[in-house]
Amino acid sequence: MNVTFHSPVPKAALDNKSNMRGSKKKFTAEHEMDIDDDEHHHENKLEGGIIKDPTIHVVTPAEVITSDAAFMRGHGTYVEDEKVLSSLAGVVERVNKLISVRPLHTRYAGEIGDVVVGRITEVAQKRWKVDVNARQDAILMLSSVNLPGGVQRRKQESDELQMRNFFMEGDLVVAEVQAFFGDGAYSIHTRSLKYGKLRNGSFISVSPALVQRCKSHFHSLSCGVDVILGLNGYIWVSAHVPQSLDEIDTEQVYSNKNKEDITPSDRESIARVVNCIRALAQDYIFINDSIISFAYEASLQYALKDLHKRHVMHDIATEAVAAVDSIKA
Amino acid sequence: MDRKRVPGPELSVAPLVEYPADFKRWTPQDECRHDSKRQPEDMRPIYLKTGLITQANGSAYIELEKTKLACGVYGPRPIKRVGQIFSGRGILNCEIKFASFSCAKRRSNIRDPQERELSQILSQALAPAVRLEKIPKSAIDVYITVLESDGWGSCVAAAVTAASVALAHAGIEMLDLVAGCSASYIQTAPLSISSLSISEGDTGSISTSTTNTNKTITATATATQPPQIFMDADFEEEKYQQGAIVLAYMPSLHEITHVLQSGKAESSTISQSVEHCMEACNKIYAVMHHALLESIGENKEAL
Amino acid sequence: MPSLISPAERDYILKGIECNIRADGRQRSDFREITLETSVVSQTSGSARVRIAGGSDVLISVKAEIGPVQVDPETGDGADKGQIICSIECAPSASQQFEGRGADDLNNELTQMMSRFLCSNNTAISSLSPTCSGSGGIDLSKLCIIPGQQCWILFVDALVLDYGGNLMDAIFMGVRAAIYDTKIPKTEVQDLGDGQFEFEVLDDEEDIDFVHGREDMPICITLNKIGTRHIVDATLLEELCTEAKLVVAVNRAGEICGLQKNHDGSIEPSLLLEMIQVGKTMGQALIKNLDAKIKEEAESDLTKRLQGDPARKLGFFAQ
Repeated sequence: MNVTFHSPVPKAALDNKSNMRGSKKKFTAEHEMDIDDDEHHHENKLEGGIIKDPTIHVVTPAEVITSDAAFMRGHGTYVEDEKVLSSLAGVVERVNKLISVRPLHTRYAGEIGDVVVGRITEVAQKRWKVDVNARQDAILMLSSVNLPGGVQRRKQESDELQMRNFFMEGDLVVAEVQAFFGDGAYSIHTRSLKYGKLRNGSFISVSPALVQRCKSHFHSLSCGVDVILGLNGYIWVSAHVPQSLDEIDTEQVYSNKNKEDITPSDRESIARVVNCIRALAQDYIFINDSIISFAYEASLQYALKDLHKRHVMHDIATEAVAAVDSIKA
Repeated sequence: MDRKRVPGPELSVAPLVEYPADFKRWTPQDECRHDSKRQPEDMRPIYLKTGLITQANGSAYIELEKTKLACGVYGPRPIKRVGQIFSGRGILNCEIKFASFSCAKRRSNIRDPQERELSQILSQALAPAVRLEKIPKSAIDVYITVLESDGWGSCVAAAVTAASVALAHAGIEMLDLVAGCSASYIQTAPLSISSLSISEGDTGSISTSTTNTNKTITATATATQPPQIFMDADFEEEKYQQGAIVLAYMPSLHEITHVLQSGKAESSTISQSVEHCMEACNKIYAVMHHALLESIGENKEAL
Repeated sequence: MPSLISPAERDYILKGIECNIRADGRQRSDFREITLETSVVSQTSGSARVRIAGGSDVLISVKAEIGPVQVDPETGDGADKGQIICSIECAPSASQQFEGRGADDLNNELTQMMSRFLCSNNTAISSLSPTCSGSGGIDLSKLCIIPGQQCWILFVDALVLDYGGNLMDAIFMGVRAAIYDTKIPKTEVQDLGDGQFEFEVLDDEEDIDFVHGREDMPICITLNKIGTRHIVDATLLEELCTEAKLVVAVNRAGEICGLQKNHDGSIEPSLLLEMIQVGKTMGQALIKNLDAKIKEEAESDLTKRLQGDPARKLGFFAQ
């Protein structure tokens, strides 16, 4: 057994550059979005040197963003005395004439159509309450799930103990946001065969701001590991289950049994990916499937048990970012 | 101010007792135990009977000479607190209370932190034996009142034993009965000291728990003789203990449900005491078994 | 952070532990990285902060105060000894389950466990006070100022700032470091005759005493039994899968200073004895590493002070 003791190291001593990455939008090669250089660049009191990149405009609550009345106000702003002030601590985003402030560290605030990973917290009358790292627990209605064997919806049998045959407290599900309730709770559904109960793997939670919207959130990495990136920051890493959609056994959709043959090397790969994601999250870097693959390759030079060390995690993160940059360049 | 009770004086001390001239306090160097009829490996005789409390679903009363406690079990009954996470298993709730007259120093009526911890220990010792998955959404309440306490370790052990019997008496499904047993490590042998400057007949100049009376001390550098294991120590013996262990054991399933050890000891001493305690628990199991059969035998009409 | 776990995750963790690959890639007997810093709080006689990477964060403070001796009325014991009073508190900000009265039970359990491990006999329990009349290696008689009247009382307070599993180990490591760091001012006692004494606490910063017997203080190792194997340094999810937890307190010499089982499962006797042995070996190795770190820090502080540079403490936001 080995245990290492360290003295604390100030965060500034670690490489600062990677912190800047979190504020620019970066997508995978499928999506590209241009950000106009902002001519209306306003009093950035932080010019003193914390933020070195001039295109990023960071604001704090009650800081003036602009006095120009031509702009439309978006989320995170309010008007006082004809000036647009920020109500959040975050980065100003400008899309044509719409100004909004995006906070960097916040609870999940989603859109319809988002893929989220959640944990069942409560079983209630004809519905489940799901924790999705948002203001309120999301609601998964009994009518929004597939019943096994394709039977007709059994509206009258909503007894608590019966519902637990499908989802129990503590189960992890992947679902899609269907609608909003008035109080801000989401309504989610698992009415597709790719959604449902999660098995064969490991759970990790990161800040929701680090997961970007992509075409698909279900990724299959080359190392034999499947990753589901929930937009709410909950991520599921599991062993690859090779199954095409028409082969899925509808009876087994709600089973709690993991597959029998998860080999030790599968477990190693899963543990590696989990640690890579943790390393990226610690340095506040955007998470998508390509950067995870780069981080995985960077991690191969270290032994599995060393991956939770601080400096190793930091190195992996920097290498992954460098790899992504070199692809772009 | 609490007007409902008559509180005792704020500072209470044990009454002064006039000891007769030939009274001799027990020390570990005496060749026998405090109770001269017992050997170090003997437990006190146990009196165990069920059915003491009529209101409870199950109850038991246990006496280990001067340690007396009563246990009542209520349940399974519905969980009172709503809003708890449903778990598919029942809940085992234990509460232990020392009566204010049970110890040498008067105890307050309010539950103190020690009692709360003991309650937790008790539920952890009993939970593996009770089939809680058979009673979802229900709770079992175990209440123990210590009427007289002669040795802390024996109290805890007796509590575990009595609670198991009471649970079985209440007709709650269990995997096995849990027997509780305690032991103390007491240094009886003279300490061997490496310095050579001790004369014969030197008494009481060392402030440790052992004294030397006219015995020559061999000035060797060997380690102290390991402390002796006294099973089921009472209050007088516990004053001299260097450490103690309380064990809760399921004899038929051969599994330990709780172990609590305090004080310093070598791991070899601990292994030995665990073995002794398990043997003692087997004997206690026979007593528990007998008490339960008796209680069924009394209701012959129902059979 | 979840206080719930799904059956599939539980099964995954269980099987992983069986083939010695835990969910985060560690082996069964691997600890996470630990960050340790002493003398972080200025108003105390000694303090330490221990943080387990991705896990628990605890802050320990030791305050030495002067108070009357506590004499046991029956045995007359305690007239020439100081006292140690422990308390552990989980800050409500540490975890969602700690808000309001939620942490009460846990606080009590941890406090009683710590008091028990730092005492070497049980008379504390029969006399009801939470003070230690024995010593977890610490020589209480050296804490006495005037026998029968005044003594030093060491208040050891632990504050849990972040809960990420493996709390007890972090607390004990911190307590050992904090007590190592504790500086007690020397006192001068004057005999006024007639059994009257007067004493004065010396003000000089250099005139201090360290706590006697601090090298013999125990630390603890928590072994979690999951399935048929046991692991150390469990994460939150692994703790939710634990059937039974065994806390083994070990000191430098390899003596077991305390043993306590937790949770609702049972342990087979041979496995129990094996776990005790494992705990003992690991504990001794841990003490060696911990002591090396504490000494290194103490020495660098001393050299900095002699050079006139104030020792710069990084406190809370450093990684």
